[in-house]
Amino acid sequence: MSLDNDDIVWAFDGRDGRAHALAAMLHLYAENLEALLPTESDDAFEQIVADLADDPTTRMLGNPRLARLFPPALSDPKGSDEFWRDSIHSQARARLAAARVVVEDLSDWEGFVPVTLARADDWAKVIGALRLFWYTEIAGPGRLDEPTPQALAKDGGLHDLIDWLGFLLEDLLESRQTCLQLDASLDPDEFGEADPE
Amino acid sequence: MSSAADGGVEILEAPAEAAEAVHQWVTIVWDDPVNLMSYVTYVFQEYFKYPLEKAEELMLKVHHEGKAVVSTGNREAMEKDVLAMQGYNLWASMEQM
Repeated sequence: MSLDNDDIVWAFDGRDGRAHALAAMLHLYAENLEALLPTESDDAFEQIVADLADDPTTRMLGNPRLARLFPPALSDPKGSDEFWRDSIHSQARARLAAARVVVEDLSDWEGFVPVTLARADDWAKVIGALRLFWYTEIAGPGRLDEPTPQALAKDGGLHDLIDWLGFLLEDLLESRQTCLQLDASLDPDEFGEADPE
Repeated sequence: MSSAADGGVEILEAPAEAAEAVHQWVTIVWDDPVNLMSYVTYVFQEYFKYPLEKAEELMLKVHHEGKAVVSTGNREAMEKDVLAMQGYNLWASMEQM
């Protein structure tokens, strides 16, 4: 692989309100994740104390959308509780950091949004997380939960949204793979309507 | 393996690997109806640096058998792998072998 991290491997088509739609979803996603964190502090010591004093497990389990993102890591409940207590803060912060990458890219461009090799992984994680986030709405938080016909009839729009996010993810992975195989970056001039602000 | 020294005292030698195996853990990725097969393959390649063939083989095992062991090691290493898989939105857990 000789592509640089700054080379462009995908373009998100943000035209016709799609960038705004994705940004709105990201806002809601981030809002839910932030509820798992204690008050942020600039003081590192205070932050450690706040993290130790806060157990976000109950808040996570009480929110089905979030519960799907934090499956139990061990088969025994005590072990899983300990794992959650020790990891939810760091996992939530990592997810928020990835979401911020996507938000920054969306705010820097109008129309087509170029995605570099270095940032493609964050985009993939975030799109995948949003799919799960919305899937839980119509199916439930269990691993094998699937939407009932009644849920699909009631929330057909959500199903379309999940399909759209799936299309984006497939497109991102295929484009990235093609760029890597051809050792070639995409050219923003060829996106048609890519206009850096 | 054991050996009997002169005088009848038996010396037991436990292979080092056996002691290590007691503490071995595995990371398991479970099937779900949401994550795309291409995405799961991508994750195995990207995080574990598995070649495409192995990543696809593991993905298909997850898909057809419901789960697959994707890595093996000590508990600390498996905690790291489980966190990474969950960070990629896969349903991952760990078990002691």
